[in-house]
Amino acid sequence: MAGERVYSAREYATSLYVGVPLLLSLAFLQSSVLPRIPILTIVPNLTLLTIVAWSFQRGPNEGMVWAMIGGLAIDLATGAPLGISPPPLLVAALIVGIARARVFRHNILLPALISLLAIGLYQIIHLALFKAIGLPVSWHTGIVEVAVPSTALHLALIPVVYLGVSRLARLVHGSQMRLGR
Amino acid sequence: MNMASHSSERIRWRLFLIFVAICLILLVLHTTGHLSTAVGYLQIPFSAAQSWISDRLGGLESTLSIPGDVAALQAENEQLRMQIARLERQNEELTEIYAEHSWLSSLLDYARQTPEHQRVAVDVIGWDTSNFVHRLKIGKGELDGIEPGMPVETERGLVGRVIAVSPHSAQVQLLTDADSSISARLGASRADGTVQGQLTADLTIKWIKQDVPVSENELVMTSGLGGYLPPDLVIGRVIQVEQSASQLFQEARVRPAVDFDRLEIVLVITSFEPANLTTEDNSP
Repeated sequence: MAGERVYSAREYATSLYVGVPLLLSLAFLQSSVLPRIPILTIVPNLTLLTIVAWSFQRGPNEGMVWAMIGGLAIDLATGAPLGISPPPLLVAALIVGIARARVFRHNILLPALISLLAIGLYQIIHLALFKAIGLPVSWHTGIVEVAVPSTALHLALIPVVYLGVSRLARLVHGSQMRLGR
Repeated sequence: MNMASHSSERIRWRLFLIFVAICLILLVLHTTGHLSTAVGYLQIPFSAAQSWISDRLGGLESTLSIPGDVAALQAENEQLRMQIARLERQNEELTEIYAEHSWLSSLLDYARQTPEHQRVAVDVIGWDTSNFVHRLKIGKGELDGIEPGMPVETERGLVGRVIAVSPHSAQVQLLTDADSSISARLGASRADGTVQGQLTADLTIKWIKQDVPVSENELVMTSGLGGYLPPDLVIGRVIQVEQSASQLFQEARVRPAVDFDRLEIVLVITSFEPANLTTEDNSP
């Protein structure tokens, strides 16, 4: 197993200074702008993509902190029940962060599979939480009509977001891990 | 190195469990109403920022749509010509139906004579980011007299209902939300049914009796049954009837009168008080 670099408290703090305004801005963009320009009826979730990309870059701990902040910001921006958005984001960040240290240095295809797993699980957990608070939709309908097309769209968008987040991480923290090496 | 790795994993899992626990606690407190006031005040800066963004969105939206507009203008023009021709024909058909059913006309006259609802115009400042729900956020709330249950409409028809309020904003559940269910009546056949939203943002009117002749393009309005919404608010038009001899009821797909993707300002009917159907046990 490839060892994972342990970041200093200062590095975590720097990530937080960058992450909080970025995630707040994304929450506003997500709730006010993007729903007006859906792609094939699906509204892309930039917060999810950014958190997945940041977890690829910086590992699960920072990814989960970003997931918590980004999720709560979305809940406050949209008026959704407080606490419903972070758990699926936390799971996505955890999966990506754990897998990153083990496989990235050996394979270029595995990151795509991990993204698929993380984004797919995000959709399913999100649906489960909505069902738990009373949204009357069946698993079949939710998965076939929303989760699958949404996962496919987000999978297509992740490379673009990854490039942007990768640049940001390099800008903030210097050289980072690269896919396929 | 190994110990450091194990320690790092322990921290990671602890962090995950703590965050999930916090979320679950927040979710339970929020759904039971214990966080309403706190969340309402936390939302104030968010609502203010969203109002600011929303005010400046018009220009951005048209800028973003320019390349598509140029490419699609000719095709859209042709489509509009065809649509005008179709609408003219529909207009003639509707005029005939109007003449044939004088009782409908008298009902409409009665509807006109009823006092106008009081309405408040409100900006749409945000949308739910999840593709599983269809809800939006408006820029006025409890302090502006907005209350849960109030109907929301535009000049074209019903948008939905207010389901939650904070001091300066409110959440509106759209007709198309999968959790939305509204008592409705068909315009010509006067059959009652229930309009339900779908995950795919489609509308379906269900529970229409089999012996009622439902036709395409028939108007669908609120019936007022149940007291949750005022009657005769336009919901949309029937676009496809699904009837099966093996079913007790028929259903139909409905095209909403409102274009939910283009909502910028909505009207909240503030004079309507939804019926409180909570039963009180008055027995001795």
